[in-house]
Amino acid sequence: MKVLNPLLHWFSSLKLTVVLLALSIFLIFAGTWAQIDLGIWTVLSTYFRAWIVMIPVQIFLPRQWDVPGVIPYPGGFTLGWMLFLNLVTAHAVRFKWQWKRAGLILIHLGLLLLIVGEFVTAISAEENRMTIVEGGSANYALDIREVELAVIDRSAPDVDQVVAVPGHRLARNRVIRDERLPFDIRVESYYQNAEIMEGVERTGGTGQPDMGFAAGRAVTVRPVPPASGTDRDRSDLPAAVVTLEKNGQRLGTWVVSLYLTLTDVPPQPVTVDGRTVDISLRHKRVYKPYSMSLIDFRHDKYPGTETPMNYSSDVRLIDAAHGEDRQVRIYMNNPLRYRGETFYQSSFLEGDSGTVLQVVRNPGWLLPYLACAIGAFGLMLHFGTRLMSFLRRRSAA
Amino acid sequence: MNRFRSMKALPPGRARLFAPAALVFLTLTTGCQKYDIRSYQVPKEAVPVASVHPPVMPPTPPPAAVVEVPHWQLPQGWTEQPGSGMRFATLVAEPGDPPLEVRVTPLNQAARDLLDNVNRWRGQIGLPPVMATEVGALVKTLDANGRPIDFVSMTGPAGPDGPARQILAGILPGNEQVWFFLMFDEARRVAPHTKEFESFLTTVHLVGHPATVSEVTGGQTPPAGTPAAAPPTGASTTGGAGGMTWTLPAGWTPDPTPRDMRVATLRSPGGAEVAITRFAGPGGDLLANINRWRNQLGLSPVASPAAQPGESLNVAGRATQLIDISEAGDTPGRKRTMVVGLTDPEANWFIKMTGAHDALTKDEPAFRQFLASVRMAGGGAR
Repeated sequence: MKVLNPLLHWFSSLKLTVVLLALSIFLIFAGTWAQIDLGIWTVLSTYFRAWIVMIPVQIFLPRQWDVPGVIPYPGGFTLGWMLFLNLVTAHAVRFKWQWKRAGLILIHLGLLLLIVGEFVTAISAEENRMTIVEGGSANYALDIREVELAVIDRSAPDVDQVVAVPGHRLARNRVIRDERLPFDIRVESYYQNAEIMEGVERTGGTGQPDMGFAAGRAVTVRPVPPASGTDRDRSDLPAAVVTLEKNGQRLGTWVVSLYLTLTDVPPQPVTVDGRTVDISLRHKRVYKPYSMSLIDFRHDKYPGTETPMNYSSDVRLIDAAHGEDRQVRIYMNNPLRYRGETFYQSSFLEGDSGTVLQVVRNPGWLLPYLACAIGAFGLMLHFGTRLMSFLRRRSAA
Repeated sequence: MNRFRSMKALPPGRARLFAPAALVFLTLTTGCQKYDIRSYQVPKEAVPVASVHPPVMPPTPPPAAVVEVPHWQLPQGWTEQPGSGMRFATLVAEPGDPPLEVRVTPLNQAARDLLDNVNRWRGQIGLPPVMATEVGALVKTLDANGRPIDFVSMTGPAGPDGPARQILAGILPGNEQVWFFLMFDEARRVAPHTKEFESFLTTVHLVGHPATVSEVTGGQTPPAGTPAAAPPTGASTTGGAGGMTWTLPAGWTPDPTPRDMRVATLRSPGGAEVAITRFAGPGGDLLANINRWRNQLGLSPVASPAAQPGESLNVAGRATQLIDISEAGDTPGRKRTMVVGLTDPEANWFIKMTGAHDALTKDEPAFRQFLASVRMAGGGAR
């Protein structure tokens, strides 16, 4: 314990609290500026949901000044956990545990729960989208912040076998080998956001796509800046050029792109070992053990205007494993909660032809509510105790 | 009042509070890792895989009731080839290996930025980029049948890598898309065609026509230069769209009003409506559709397609079922729906006749005659 004491006292220091709060304020400042160039989700994951962040000096300066250099800085996880330990150790070391201080302790407990709640959300919450065309059904949701290279074997009569390589593996630009894959994937290039242009450039070389969509035509993958937090109308369209190999033999080079997938270009066939599989770069799919059919989507407007009055989706939820087969109406502020997930009415397809549901799973969703309730109760207790003691002193005087 | 304890006076047992905090910390932080390669099985899906247009910012034009396609007058000696993939059409200005081509490509409105395009092309022919204030001098705006079309001609320097290259470009903004016309090759080949290309651009005009689902969802676009879909007339007895053709029974007329997801709408003299829909995405689930039609007639859903009686038919070489659903009751005006579903490699089709029960009874022979006339690209059953 003698060894631990100096450590505990250092962690419990009020000076450390002030420093950590100051560092947190600057991190928020930097993260806000970073959204000029980066999307909000990228900033969230690289600044606030990270242990260390390399803050480019450039983000604080006009973009026409080309200023190199980065500031290594503690990320949100580091600061959050330091504040957590700071508060816990302060109670272990410094604060007196007395009934009259119960309010303060509860306030701090609320703060601790808030920190833990955000961390649980950061590492475990899932937020996806389920799109259903009217009259159709869906058994998967899309994570529109992640892409995956899907290798689909359709040879079985009743099921498709899918091997999905996440986009962050492609982004490392290395050879991907996995026994579940029918070939090795050599990533020639990967772009977070790129346009697929047909023609114009004839670069040649071994990394030039020559199979699938690119067969017989010159295809240029042109990187473009990632969509930023200030872009209202753009989203990233990742693309990659991959050379597929089997036992060291080159099968060819393909260009895969989310743009192609979203424009309904069919998955590209790859023939390997006498069988054909499809490859496609698409949003990460999260399959569900149940399905939903859209019976009707309604987009009501106030009479005589284009002002929306209500959006609602009548869906049929079918879950054979749980014996569910029921009709549900999902509308604004009235989500469906099922199997730990919440389905919100989020958007709709052009011409009201289908619905887009936001599917959220957050094991920590209750913690912020609990934290606020405990904190509010603590505040009332703390100030109530103070008020009573003040009144008692005044009446005694 | 000293609220702080000295370092030496750490109260016994308090340090134990540190342990749970550290445990929470370790438990939570070790759970933080990115997912890796996943392997799983899914129920068989239609090909192409269902795509989802991002509701916020689709990279392609959102489905519209009317789409525009360019028409033009080819200069003498030019030939035209149908497009494929992202390319709408290829115009061959000069045969050879490779041929000297004009590529006609529609892109979304995000690709419209003139400075961005000009600088990209300049980079490709070895020229330095220009500032926004300089780009105007490089662009000549022509009149393409009432619409402005930007014409750009730039020639790069010859270098150790090869001869000088030239690019001729036309940029025509449409309502939904921006149309690019590009000729790019060695300057000695392109230069003689510059005036010709410029004149060609002035002949381009965009013509809107009702969208078919295949066009909306990025399927095969109509061949370049083909006339826009003529307004249907009562005299027309044949029709087709998106890879399906048919012959209209006597008295039936097409309804030109564009509707989402509809390939065509036909009307019988008796007042029945025949809707032909094509789902390239996830809209083809038979059970969901049966239950939707039942719901429209106030009937309760069924658990499987087999629970809905149907008559076996052969349409366009494909075995299918004619599903006949009627509203409850026995009034002549109660609603009735007759539907067949057809599958091709890329989509699921539904041909649905709806109307009053009595009207459909009268129109049923004509509907069957219509179904017998249906032909689909790709022939018979797969």
